Amino acid sequence: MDVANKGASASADPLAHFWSVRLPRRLDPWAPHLADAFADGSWTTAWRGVAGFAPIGALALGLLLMRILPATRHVYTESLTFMALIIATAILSGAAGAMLLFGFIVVDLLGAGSGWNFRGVFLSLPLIVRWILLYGSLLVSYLLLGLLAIRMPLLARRMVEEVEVDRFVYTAARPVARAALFGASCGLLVWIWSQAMIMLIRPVFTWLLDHPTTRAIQPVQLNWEWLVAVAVLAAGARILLEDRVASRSARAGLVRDLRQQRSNDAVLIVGRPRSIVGQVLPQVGLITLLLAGTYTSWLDALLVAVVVTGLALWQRGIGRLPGWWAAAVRRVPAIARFVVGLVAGYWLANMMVQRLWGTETFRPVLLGALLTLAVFLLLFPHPERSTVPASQGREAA
Amino acid sequence: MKPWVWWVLWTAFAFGIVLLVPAVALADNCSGLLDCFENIRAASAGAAAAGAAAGGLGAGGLGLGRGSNVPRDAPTGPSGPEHERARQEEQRRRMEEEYARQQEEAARRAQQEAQRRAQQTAADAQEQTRGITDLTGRGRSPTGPMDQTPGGDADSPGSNVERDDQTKR
Repeated sequence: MDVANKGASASADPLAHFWSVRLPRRLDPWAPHLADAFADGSWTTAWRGVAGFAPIGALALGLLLMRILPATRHVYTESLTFMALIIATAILSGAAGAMLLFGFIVVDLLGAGSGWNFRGVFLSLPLIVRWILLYGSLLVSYLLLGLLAIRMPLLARRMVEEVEVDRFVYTAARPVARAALFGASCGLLVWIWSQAMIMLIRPVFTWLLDHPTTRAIQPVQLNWEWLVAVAVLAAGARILLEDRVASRSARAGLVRDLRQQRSNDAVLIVGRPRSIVGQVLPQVGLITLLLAGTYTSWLDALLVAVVVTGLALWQRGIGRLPGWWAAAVRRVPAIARFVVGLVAGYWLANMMVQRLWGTETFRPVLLGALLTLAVFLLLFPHPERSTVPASQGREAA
Repeated sequence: MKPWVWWVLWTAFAFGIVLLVPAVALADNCSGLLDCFENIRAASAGAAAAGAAAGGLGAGGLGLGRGSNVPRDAPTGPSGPEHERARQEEQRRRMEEEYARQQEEAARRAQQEAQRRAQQTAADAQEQTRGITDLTGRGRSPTGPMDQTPGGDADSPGSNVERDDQTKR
């Protein structure tokens, strides 16, 4: 890209340039997926002011959400409307979804604990322990919400991009086919999230030595079809609108310019090698926290940390998957592998749960989840590390 | 980001997890499987979903690369691990091409320099020969290096007389 073009989007729409290029560039070393989510909103530059002001509006909405939707006062799963709103926003614009999430977290943290009815046994704990339990449980709930608001749309998009729709579908029908595929992917991921949340949201209650309420579980367990419907509709609308602006909007060049700049930044980031410990440690920490809702005792957490460490090391360094296996599975589109992994995981978990159903603890579910996790790591071999030395990448910058 | 900042951050994160893990032991595992799931099928689906959410959505371990890094002129396009590899390969190829081009350029310059020196040497040798010829009173060539030597023809294009005039102007 030449210098003149590079400055075109920055001067034509500086706010859109900030959300789509400058902020992601800053976030990349710390939170690459969050950086990608912000860059995802660049397509809305096709409409004047939307890419610049939508994240600000979403932030304001997130800050006011507690007043608008009082049902989210304890935990957000109590409000179907809130979850539908964040799903739709995140799918339509990653930047708006991230800012909505940020606004919600700020207000939720500030009001954490006020007006809640803690049990006596919890109140008798030392203050520091109460503080750790309260904010630790909130951290788990925010990570889970982050999966929905940040990761879900990007992963769905990535899976759809692998399917070569153009080879199988007539030109006129391609946008509709892509919209249907993206809608199905988002719907599938939202369903998975809803089913997982039945257990994974439990720390919000159990860490406060309380019982999960029916009100917090019911929306994700029984009314998930509404969330899936919202995801499918938003995803379909996004692809059709994006296709329309790419071909007809006068500002399509600006969108391409922003994406090209983002792509140039991201290629340099991808080229930077990171140590195996630097890759494995975040993965282990995150999964250990995410699965906290399935733990019966601290030994379960230890088991998860050890197993995930072993799996991650096996996947990346020690005893890497055979090359023929990695090459074979990569020929299959990711969305198909995802469904196969889910079905295989269900089958394995079913065997585990059947055997250990009588224990009436969550341990069989935890073991089933770990088996599913292993299947996923098997079906999604880690890509080879970049062959581009970091120094060269920086020189190229 | 400096390496030590990275390590401090992740040590803090790991320490936070160690702090939180005992909290799990304190947790009142209030309800058994039956409270959350009515039957084995629902519990199995929940387990598979939790594994998929943690492994697929959670840790970014699917190896599908990054979300919106690939610029798309059309709404969709080639991507995924193949595209990521291709992108890295392309970048490496460009760097190799650039390196090869620089090497080629350096070789070309060296060759030119060698040729120039060879010509200069040849010219010097010819000049010496011509000087000897002049001294011995033999004929002179209408063109050639000797025309530009002091004492050459003033009307010839490269004569020193004309150069001196230009310098004065």
